[in-house]
Amino acid sequence: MNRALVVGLGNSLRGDDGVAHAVVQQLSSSGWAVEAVAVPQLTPEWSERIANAEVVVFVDAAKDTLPGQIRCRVLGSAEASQSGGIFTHHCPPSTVVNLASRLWGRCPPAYLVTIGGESFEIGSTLSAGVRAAIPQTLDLIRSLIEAHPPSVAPGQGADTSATGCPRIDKAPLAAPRSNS
Amino acid sequence: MVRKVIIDPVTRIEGHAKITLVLGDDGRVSEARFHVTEFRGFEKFCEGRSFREMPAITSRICGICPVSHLLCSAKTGDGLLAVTPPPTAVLLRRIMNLGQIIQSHALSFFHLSGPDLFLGFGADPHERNIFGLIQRHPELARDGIRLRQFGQRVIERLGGRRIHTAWAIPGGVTDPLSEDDRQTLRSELSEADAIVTRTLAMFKALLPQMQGEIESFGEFPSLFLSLVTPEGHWEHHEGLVRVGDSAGNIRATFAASDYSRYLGEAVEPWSYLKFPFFKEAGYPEGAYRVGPLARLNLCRQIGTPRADAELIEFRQRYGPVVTSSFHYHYARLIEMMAAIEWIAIHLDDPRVTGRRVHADADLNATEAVGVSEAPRGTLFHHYIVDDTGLLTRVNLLIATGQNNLPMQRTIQQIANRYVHGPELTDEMLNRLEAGIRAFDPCLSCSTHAAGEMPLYVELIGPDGKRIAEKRRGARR
Repeated sequence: MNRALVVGLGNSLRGDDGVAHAVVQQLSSSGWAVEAVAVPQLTPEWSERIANAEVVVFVDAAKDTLPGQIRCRVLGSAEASQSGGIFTHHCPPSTVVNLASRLWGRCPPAYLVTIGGESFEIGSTLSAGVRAAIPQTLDLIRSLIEAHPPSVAPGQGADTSATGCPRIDKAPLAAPRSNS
Repeated sequence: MVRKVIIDPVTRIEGHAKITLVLGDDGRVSEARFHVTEFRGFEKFCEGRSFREMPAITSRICGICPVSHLLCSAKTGDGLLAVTPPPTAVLLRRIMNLGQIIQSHALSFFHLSGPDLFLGFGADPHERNIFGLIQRHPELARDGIRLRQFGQRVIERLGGRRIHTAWAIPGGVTDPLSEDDRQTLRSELSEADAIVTRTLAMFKALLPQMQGEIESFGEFPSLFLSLVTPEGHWEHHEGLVRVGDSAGNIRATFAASDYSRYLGEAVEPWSYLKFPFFKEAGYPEGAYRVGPLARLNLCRQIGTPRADAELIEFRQRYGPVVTSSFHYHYARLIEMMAAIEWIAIHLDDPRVTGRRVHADADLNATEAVGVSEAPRGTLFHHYIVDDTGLLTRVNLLIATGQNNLPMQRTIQQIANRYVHGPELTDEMLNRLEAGIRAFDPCLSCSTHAAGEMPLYVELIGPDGKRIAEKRRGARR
């Protein structure tokens, strides 16, 4: 069973839509004990991998918040998109979490962290405000993962209920903590 | 008196389309049209690009079958370089295409058509969807996901990623297959095989209950087109193009480079999808079907034991040339079994882990045609370049486009059976959509469009006033 899974979503060729890829890149080089993967979109095949994690955090850009604004939401296993296109065009994190529960019998604590984007035009550069939000996003992800300590043995004693999202401080952003 | 019934969009297919039914005074369907409402423009905006970029560009036509375009484009590039890829590269390309067939067929069978096949065409529309399938048959849903995963892993192990890999290039492929990856894929075949085996058994047991659909979902004589080996066996990546008819006669066999001598493309003002036809028979009589049903109808044998046993049973049940489009579903299952068996054979070939995987050359020709069997049918890429390798003309003949005329006819046939007068029932509408889904059309590929339309079904009376309407499907 994977300990902690972070899944970054978005198109890295569409400006700020690639912010999750940048977050995943920094996570991958941070030395944290977390599996971090960036993909353009989710598909139902992800449901099994998610069911096998102890905690999962999805990261994505948002269009409906201020640029650089970070939001966190707990994903419940009862949520799901009823869209007929979920197996082809659009499979949101809530649906994949729902599938993990329905198909594989397990739904780990799951969170969706979004960062407000400013520009989604063609390009691979993040806008300044979005880039500046990455360190705080990393802090948030770390706190979400640390809220769910490793289970004693795989599949035993694991906390399968998501805690609430921590308050996101609006104070000046701090640099990522070192892994010492 | 003319009344129109419009279904827009059609759900659970790739891309966007609508169906228009024109009712005569007797309440029967006098005309049916399957409109494709997307436009993409690939053939035009690729002009001026280098042919070496085309595998990467054309693979982005679609997120479901990018591998099909990748491989076909690379083969076209082979022709422009005038090279023969090394045997290892050919093997690896074949394995990737087989993985693509598995993952695409699994999506089509289990997820797109599964709710109809296993919950019933007349089931409550609120339940006749993937969540209903998960609720009633979770093991089927799991099998579909696992089988699709296997196909995707084949693509990923070879190409480095599941979607939009850049691995196939003119001349061959970029990277060989490692021994570790070969063994991993080999070890995963047994589960995939078990899934297809039990699904075939389950589906065959259901067939007696689907006689109405078998008789009305595109049951008509037609031409068929697919690749075959020089010996006339099942082929998905090389070989010759064959056209045959419902009586089992071979009407033509030709190299891909000669396609324009045998195949024409008509245009109608009410659809962005072109209407390919077999020139010898004229338009529209020269309509032909491509895809799994065509490939099985045109081959003497598949060449692997269990798939061939299934093919024999298929023909014993439904004839030497199977003409009902409903049996595309059955054909997909047989092809998945064939693909699994062929992947095993190729993985056991000692050349498969060879290190020589591409032939290098400069431009040696200014025109080439590549062909490959996409899951949905035969795919042609035709490039003409200038002396520097920049494209001056591109023609893409897509599988779904070649099924356009048969899909029109299928809609008409289903409508004639299930549409009576002004009452619009969900069961009727879903059968119309299900008839299209049997072809597993990929409209993102086959149109050259963009955009989406809201779902709205309207029935207009003879006085021009709306007498009935229905809304269904997803709005985006």
